[in-house]
Amino acid sequence: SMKEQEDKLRASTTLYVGNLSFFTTEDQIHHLFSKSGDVKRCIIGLDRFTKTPCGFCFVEYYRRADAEDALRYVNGTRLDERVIRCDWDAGFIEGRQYGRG
Amino acid sequence: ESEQESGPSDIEKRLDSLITRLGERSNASLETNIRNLAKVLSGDIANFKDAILNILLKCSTTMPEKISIYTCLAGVLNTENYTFGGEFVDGLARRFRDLLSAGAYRQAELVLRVIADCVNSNLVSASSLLMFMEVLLEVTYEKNVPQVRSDWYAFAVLSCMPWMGERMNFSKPDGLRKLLEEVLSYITRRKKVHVAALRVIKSDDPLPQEDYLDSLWTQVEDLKNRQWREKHILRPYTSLDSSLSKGQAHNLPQIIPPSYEEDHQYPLPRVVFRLFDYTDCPEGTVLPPMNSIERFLIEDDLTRLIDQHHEDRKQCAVVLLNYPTAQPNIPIDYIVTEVVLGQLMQLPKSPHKEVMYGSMILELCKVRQDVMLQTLALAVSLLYERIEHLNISSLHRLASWFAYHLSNYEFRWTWEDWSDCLQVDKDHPKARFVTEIIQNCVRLSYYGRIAEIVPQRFKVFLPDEPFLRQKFDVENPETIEGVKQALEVHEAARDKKEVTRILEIIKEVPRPEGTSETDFNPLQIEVFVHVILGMYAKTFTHLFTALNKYAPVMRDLLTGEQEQIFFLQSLYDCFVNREYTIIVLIDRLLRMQLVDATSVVNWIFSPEMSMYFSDHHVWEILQQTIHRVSTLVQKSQSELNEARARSKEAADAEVVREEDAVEALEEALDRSLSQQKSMFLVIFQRFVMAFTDYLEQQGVKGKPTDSSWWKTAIGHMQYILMTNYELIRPYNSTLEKLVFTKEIDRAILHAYNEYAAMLS
Repeated sequence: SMKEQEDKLRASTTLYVGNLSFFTTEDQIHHLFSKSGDVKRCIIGLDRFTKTPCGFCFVEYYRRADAEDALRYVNGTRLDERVIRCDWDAGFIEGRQYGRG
Repeated sequence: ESEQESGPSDIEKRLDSLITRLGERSNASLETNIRNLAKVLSGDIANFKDAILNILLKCSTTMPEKISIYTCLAGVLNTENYTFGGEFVDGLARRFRDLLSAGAYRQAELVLRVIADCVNSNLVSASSLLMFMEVLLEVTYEKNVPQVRSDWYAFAVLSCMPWMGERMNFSKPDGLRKLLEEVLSYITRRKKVHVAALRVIKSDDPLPQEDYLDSLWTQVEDLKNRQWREKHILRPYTSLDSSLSKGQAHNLPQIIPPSYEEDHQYPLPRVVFRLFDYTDCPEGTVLPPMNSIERFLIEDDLTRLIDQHHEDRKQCAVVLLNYPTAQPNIPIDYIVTEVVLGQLMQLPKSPHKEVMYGSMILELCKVRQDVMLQTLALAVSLLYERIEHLNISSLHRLASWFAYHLSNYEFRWTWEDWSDCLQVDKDHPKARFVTEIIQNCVRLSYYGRIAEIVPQRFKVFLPDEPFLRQKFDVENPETIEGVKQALEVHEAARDKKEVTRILEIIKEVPRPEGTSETDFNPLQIEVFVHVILGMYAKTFTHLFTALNKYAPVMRDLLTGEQEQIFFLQSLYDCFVNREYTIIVLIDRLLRMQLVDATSVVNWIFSPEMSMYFSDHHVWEILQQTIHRVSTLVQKSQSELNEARARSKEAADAEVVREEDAVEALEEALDRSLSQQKSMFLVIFQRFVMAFTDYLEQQGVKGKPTDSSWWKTAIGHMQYILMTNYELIRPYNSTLEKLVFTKEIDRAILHAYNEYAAMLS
């Protein structure tokens, strides 16, 4: 439900990161996002059919406060010349890395 | 009745907004606005006294740039309503006392300035203010308290002088003189061992980098010599003087400073970072000299604005660059740049996360693109010129920030301006700085891209391209021992065979000649690293999968410290030029407790790694290790706290189970604490050993402590000490007993003493 979804977002430690270049690697994302705190994992979004990166990823932190800082300080800055956009995500579930084909 | 409840809150909101907005841009003069607001408020005081009092107290003590506006408003109200004025003064004094008891020193400073400023609007009597300040200064005579405590009291009183100096000089000149003499006597007798370690720039040429109290003293002395006329603070009470004098001043209640509290975090001493001189600023602008009080007042306000607004970087950039100054032509972008870069590089560490400064600087550039990019470029080139004197910790932060900044500007930079770094030794700080910037650029981008943007001549600073060194050449199975098993492991892993099967094959790896039965078999570890981790080397996700899957294999192979050290070295040899991968991998291994922190430390100090001793990434690994161990301690601590709380509330049937849980967690906490302690002991023992060896090798020829190696190495020890001071502090006495003893070389001991003095 809407309420459950909202509660999940409020407790989430995961960010959705969009507008990435297709060539941006996991290492780069990990390095940039580690600047606000310990990153648990990055999951690169893949095209459903070609299984190649398609411009988004999920970044999961250990601590909520570090994810908040990423939203404050990394969101809207550039990575590989592109202004990246971050938002809260309710949490990564296997299968969600496949974007629209 | 419900109407009554909702009624006041609307009026309170209106009052809050009226009072908060006082002093904002308006067509009428400030004095008129104060008078008008006072008229409105005196009508409302009868019904909303508490609300008005609270709003006024809140506004006056949280908006540093508007202190005098609110004391003036309170002063006007006092002429009409003596009781109200008295309650305002008492409220301030009480707030000051509460903040001291809570250890909120930065806020307490501000409240003290409001109290001091009350003398100007005839709210507080000059004699009671003098007494109030004298009592505070008595702390500077306390025996056996850390200097950070007495420092704070001296600083807090001295920083009130711009507000109270002129008036006190007029009404109580002798009292003021005595107060200042006491501050001076404290400043001359206080210890200054810590200052060297806190200097971002270790040279006073071209600009002196002064201890914060010394600097403020010079500024106040200059102010005194100008008959206390400063040019920054708004003085609305001057033109309202005739009506204010009709009021009657109150006597401040006496506040006895609470006694020393061990767990209070007194502000650490600082060194004021100086980068720009007036000659660096554009023509037509006037940078207040650094020995003028105006420079202090602006910088202090900017620092408070950053603390207030840092969570909203856009807003923060706007308020900083639009900071109102009374004098025209003050190059605020220069002062902002100096304050922001000074905080980024501040020692022992920056007050906020480094990335905050990076992204706020990007916003500053958006708000005033016309000036900020140039000002920043100038700042960076001035720092480059002084890089030899830059503290190591500050240098790392500067390089990391600058690479981040460049990554937001398509890596455009006039590298040729720095061509003198091509003429120096590769260990020279200039060369080191450029190397670190380029390495950080590679991490934020990718190798090929940075190879493209770095000019040909600067390619010497580009790291070699990363690659995977595969020790076991499966094409030529005869070349080396263990290849047969390496091949089998490769096939078994590819065919997704059981992990136990893979361990079996690894166990069949023959023992290389020359190793005895009791030793571990290094080839087994190498087969695991080069074959299994090699297969998963593509990304962190792959590597983390491998660590999870093959954790049982590693637990079997890495039972002792020697095995773990050899394993770390194999990783390092396999992932060539992939320092960031190594840092992240080791962190994960520590988190999974597959390797011990002391093994990482001993590996870093091993002969195999000695050639990288001056490279930043080695110290990044160590920093990350300390960070990881300390988070394990924190985690155990909070788990224990939760379990204790649960056990208190547990029902009878569950008591035993909960108590067992508490006991287990207590043991876990003990283990993590002893791991932390031994880690720090080993780190500093190894540092001291490395330094002692170096001094012995160099003998008496020349001065070994002048060499680049020495400066970098000792700098890194201080970097570790200072950055982790909160963690290391509890072990100081142990360290002094076991490691930093009188027997070791004085140059080593001195580096430690500078750190220890910072906290004492």
